[in-house]
Amino acid sequence: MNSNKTSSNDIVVTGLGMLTAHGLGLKANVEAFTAPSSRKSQDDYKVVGFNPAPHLTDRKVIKAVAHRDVLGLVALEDCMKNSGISPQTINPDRTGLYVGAPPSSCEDHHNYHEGMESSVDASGKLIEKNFGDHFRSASPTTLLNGLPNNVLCYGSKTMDARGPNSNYTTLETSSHMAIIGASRAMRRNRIDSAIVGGYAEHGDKVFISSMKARGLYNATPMAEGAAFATIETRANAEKRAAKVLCTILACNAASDAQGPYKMASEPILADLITQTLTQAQVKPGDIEVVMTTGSGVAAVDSAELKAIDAIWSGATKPLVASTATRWGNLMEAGGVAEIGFLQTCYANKSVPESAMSEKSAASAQKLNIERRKAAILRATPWGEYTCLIVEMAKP
Amino acid sequence: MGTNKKRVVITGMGAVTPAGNTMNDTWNGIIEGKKNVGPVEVFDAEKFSCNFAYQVRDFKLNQEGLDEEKAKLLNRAGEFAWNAALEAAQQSKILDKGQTSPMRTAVCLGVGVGSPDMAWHHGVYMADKCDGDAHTYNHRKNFPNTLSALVANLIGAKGATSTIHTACASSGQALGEAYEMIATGEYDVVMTGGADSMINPFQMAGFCLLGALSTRVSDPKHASRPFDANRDGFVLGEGACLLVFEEYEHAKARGANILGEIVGYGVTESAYRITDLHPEGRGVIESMQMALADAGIKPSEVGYVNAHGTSTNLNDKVESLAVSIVFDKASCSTKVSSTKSTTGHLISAAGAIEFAVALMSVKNQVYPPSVNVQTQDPTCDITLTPSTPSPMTSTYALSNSVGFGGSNTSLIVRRV
Repeated sequence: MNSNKTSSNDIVVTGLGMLTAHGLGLKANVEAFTAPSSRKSQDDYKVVGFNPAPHLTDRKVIKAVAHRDVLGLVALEDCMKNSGISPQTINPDRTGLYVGAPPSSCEDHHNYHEGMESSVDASGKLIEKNFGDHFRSASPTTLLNGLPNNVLCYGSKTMDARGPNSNYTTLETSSHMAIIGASRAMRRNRIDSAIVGGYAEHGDKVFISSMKARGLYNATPMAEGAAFATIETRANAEKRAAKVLCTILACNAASDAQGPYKMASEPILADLITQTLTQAQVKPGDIEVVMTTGSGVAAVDSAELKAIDAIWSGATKPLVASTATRWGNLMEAGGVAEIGFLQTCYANKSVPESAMSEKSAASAQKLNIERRKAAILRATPWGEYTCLIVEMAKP
Repeated sequence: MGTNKKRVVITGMGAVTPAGNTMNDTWNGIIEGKKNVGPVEVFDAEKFSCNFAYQVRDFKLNQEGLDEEKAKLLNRAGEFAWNAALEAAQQSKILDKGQTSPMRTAVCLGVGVGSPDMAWHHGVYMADKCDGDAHTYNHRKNFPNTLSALVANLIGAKGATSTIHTACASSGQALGEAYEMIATGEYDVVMTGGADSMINPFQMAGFCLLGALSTRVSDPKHASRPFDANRDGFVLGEGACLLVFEEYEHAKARGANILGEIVGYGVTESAYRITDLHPEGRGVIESMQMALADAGIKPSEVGYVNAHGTSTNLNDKVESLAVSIVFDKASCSTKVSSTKSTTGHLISAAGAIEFAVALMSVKNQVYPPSVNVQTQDPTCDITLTPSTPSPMTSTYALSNSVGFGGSNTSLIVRRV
């Protein structure tokens, strides 16, 4: 795709929705970068005290699904409102929903608490067969509560989106996988528009302790939240007179083929960035901002920064930033949320100092808004990487 | 749709299922009507309303490519998948040096929700012991993308590693996306498929609570009876099926043995209810029509439909309706069966194994038998395959998957 020309086949972003501990909507979340931060502990990044009911078309869903699914559905509806789409305005068969979802959480099995308690003898030993006598006290929908595709299901129903869809469970890269899947469906002329994004809730003690044990968790808290974007062909956006926030120039994924937790020593992420820049027909020097995952996992952070050094060694250095400094690690919701962050940065002509990585001098946070191309990187300790290149619309 | 798409062929298949521990054994088991079903062996399910399942037996993990660390990251379904991946990779010869380009090779799997171990669960939730090595492995091996990362490592794939979960449609969807990844020219080779085992106390309890499982405890061998008038629910199975999808010219250039060609993919959302199909077949109909349009063929050219056919009252009734609308009897002689009567329901792996069976059907020109159908439900107005294997003269077969959550997929395979 030649980024200097527009085409009716371009894929553009026309709306965003977001919910995190900082609040509902992009504005509340971006303000977190300029306000003093007192959030330090894991619990500070949980969404508490938020009433989802006024924000959901079908309020009954709140009782039918898990907390994390509710976050996802609220952000999805926020996105629908922000982009001006509704069941009445879309073509159901030509509208998709592509979701990045967290894996099933064993927290759902708390519903079997009575069965579990009854399966332990006086000495504390587990008597497995007793479980069969007592699990029936659990809710009939226990299994459904834990499904990773609840947001896809209920979200499709809310949107009346009946077209191609998918649900990715690849942690930090999930929302980019959703963009890739939906973009592919558009290139195949299967859909005109889709909502893409992800939602996350990884703050449970089991996840944290497991990650800590492998050195995969340290300073950056695991954040709860959700972010979705509406993407569509430029032709579709023009037809409905939608405001374009940015153009997706290219999005690709790669693996280091090392298996979980090894993290390749070779520059696989640099190769991916090069491939994606080439596909986008963008030179490294044209990129004004690079958003990193910034998960705080040493090996992942190192992989991202090494790749940036390799790609931009002979070119004008971009600003390097991460939203994890204030939003925490949004896992599956990250990657799409950054589009909203960038939109605000371009409107304000600067990247907040609180989001800058150590690699960028604080004095260099001013944005050259004539240079509107940005890269958003995502990486997981499982050796999965994605790179999204966007061109922001003129503020 | 489908203009300028690259041709996508299958050059390797591997399977571990209750019907057999290789692809050929699985196919033979299905043709012979083998029923490896009986009381649950992996835990004590005596007091469950459904205490039986189709289980993989006599399984031995293939250690090739594994070290101690990787082996500890494979859960039960992951072990099945490892063997299936090796079988598929060896058949396609993609492990041989110089056969593939790492950046042009990807992985796309449909993976289930994991198999939580009850003792581990007891430790972390009841006794608050979430530390130690065993805990971390038990936790991380149930991450769905752990398997994808390990398979990428096995075949040296440095393209995307994609992991999909759309319940029972997961691996149908993974195959469809793998097909599209090649059809659009992004990749030359994609290892795809699915793996699942929900035969564990928590998940079987969940299905029992939903009332989705057959309670024919006195006669497990006849419990999974898709499209039969006396069906009363599905029977869990377990297993894995992995396939090597490859761009046709790439396969031809390296002299790969081409097993079949995938020519059409349909994927829709019913946008209705989480467990129920739309009563008029909305979503399932459009999925099949989309796949036919993508393949550029008429319904009458499809000789066989491997139905999702779970043996639940609603699925079989609605899917039959959808099939009868798309493949109307006046113009089509399409025959239908569900092979879940010999494999059980492999949940996230169902779409992959059933596509592989559809491929084997057109490759061998044999209709898989409709096992356990004693009296066809009159509301299921479809032409079932006979109860014994029978000869086929058709080039195309279609495989359906329908998931909790409303995702529907249809895949069409062509004989080569």
